[in-house]
Amino acid sequence: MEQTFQREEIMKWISRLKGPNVAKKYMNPYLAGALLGLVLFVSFFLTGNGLGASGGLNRIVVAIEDVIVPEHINKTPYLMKLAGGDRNALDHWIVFIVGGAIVGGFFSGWFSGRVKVETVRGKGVSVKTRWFMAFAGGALMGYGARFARGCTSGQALSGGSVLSLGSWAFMFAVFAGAYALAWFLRGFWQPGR
Amino acid sequence: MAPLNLLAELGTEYYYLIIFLIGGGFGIVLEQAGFGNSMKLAAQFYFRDFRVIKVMFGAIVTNMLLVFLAAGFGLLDYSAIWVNPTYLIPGIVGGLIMGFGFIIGGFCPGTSLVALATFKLDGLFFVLGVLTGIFFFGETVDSFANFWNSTYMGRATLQDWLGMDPSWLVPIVVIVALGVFKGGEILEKIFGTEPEARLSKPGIGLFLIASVTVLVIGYPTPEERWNHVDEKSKQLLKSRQIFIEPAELVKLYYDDAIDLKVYDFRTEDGFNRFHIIDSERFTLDSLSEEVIIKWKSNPPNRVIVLTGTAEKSAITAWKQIKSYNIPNLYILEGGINHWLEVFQNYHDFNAIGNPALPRPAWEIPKAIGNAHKASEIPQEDLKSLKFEPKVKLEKIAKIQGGGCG
Repeated sequence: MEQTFQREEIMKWISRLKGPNVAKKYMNPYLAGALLGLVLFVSFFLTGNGLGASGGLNRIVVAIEDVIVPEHINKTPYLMKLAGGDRNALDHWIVFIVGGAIVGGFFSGWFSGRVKVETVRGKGVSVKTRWFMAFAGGALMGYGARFARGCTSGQALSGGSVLSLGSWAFMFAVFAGAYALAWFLRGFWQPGR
Repeated sequence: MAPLNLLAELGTEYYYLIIFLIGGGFGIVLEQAGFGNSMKLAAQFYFRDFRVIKVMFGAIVTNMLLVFLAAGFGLLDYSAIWVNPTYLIPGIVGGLIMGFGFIIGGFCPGTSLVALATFKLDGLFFVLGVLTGIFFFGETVDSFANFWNSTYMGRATLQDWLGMDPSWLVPIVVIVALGVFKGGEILEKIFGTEPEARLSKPGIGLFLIASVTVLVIGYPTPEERWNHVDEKSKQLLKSRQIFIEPAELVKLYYDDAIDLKVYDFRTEDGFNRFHIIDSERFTLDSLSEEVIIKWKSNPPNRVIVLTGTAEKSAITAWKQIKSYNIPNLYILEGGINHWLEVFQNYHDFNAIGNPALPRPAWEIPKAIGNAHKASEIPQEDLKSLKFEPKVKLEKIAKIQGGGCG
């Protein structure tokens, strides 16, 4: 009797670790917003800085460049500030935020049954088209984020919540740009696939 | 008072571990909110699902309320947290480009990390795109560096730009956000295909109560800031460690290793009649948070000496400035009254009162400012001057600044 009970317990734990088979519903967005605000506050309280993402990706790119073409880094003023000479581009807190976010995102998805190899796309959009658009959008995002010295996480969320003037101007510009182009791309994001 | 200096207290490994955990929380919440899914994100721009605005503005408003509540209670120093510096035009141009990238690609950098983490291939290609875009930026920026560095406004804040007290601005932002949430919910009903979350009455109530609390508590005044200053600084003032003799000020003036600034808090009339060479006139009113925060980026060998007629106004100014942790801050002992007493041989002003009182103790008929002999004591005369040296350059711990900038 006891053996069966123990076996059941073990099976329960294995299935918990495997995660649910069916994707769980997403969290209430207002609750998620409040929790995200709390994470932001903990960050500001403990470290004086908010969150960010593009800065970390920037440093990863520069770190890779530093391994392949260090002489180029030492000749380019913008790159020198991050990785010139002895400097390690990865020795900065923003890199660890990015690392943590990936790991946290994975575990959250895993225990919610949402880790799945798939290409999320609109109705009538082929996988290859979606990949191409994702890459193109990402390239614009990457370029724009460095141009603006931050992305929606670093500027809008963090800077906006502590009332930075530039962050608010940036935020309006992002929404303006996206809404302006949205009409022309409406066929690409049709729900119901 | 927060922000804590964890890097100095815990060392690099534990500091980065805590940061990693914070990042973990960030990733968890983003994924739970559904932001690993590009369809959910894009739906915002077709008014079908206001999830993006609800989460973003919900987070912005929540953090803003917590920060200003903590600041109001003296638990957090708003002037010491990272407020993204404003480069107005580059920020707007970059934002527009990002907006295009958002609706074309379906993510922003933070959310794409979460998509990548949950094996979404569209997320993977987006991240590869981001890395590529970043690479191209690095290669091209130096050719338009002047533009990229233009319209710099320093640590510009909404409250400074609007000329408002932040404890009023915060409730206004909350009310605007609540309006946007309500508007979004209406649009979702019109354009959306599924029922979406509505902000509950307790939620609205909580935001409003917090806003009113921020308003009532108010943003800390200079006196309140001084109450929260650490004991060490208060001791410096009590033990008169930060009062320097006139002779030492002369020595500092000729010391090439020191970047000296003398701020004089007397009236315009007093200043015009006589002031020390290279000193600048300042008023207590013009000692705004904006001005003092700029001094946080002074060079490490900057020494600031405050003076008044005697010591009263200089002490008030010292407390105000010190509450922002400005280092190498001193007061001229006895003020201008005592300076003129020590350097009597350099002038023939009539003594007209007790130099210890905050009233001019010398009659100065000619208003020739810093052209008096007593304004600039010659370097050779330093040899015969004796004083107890007090100035010691403090080593300022460098805190890692903003991440994305």
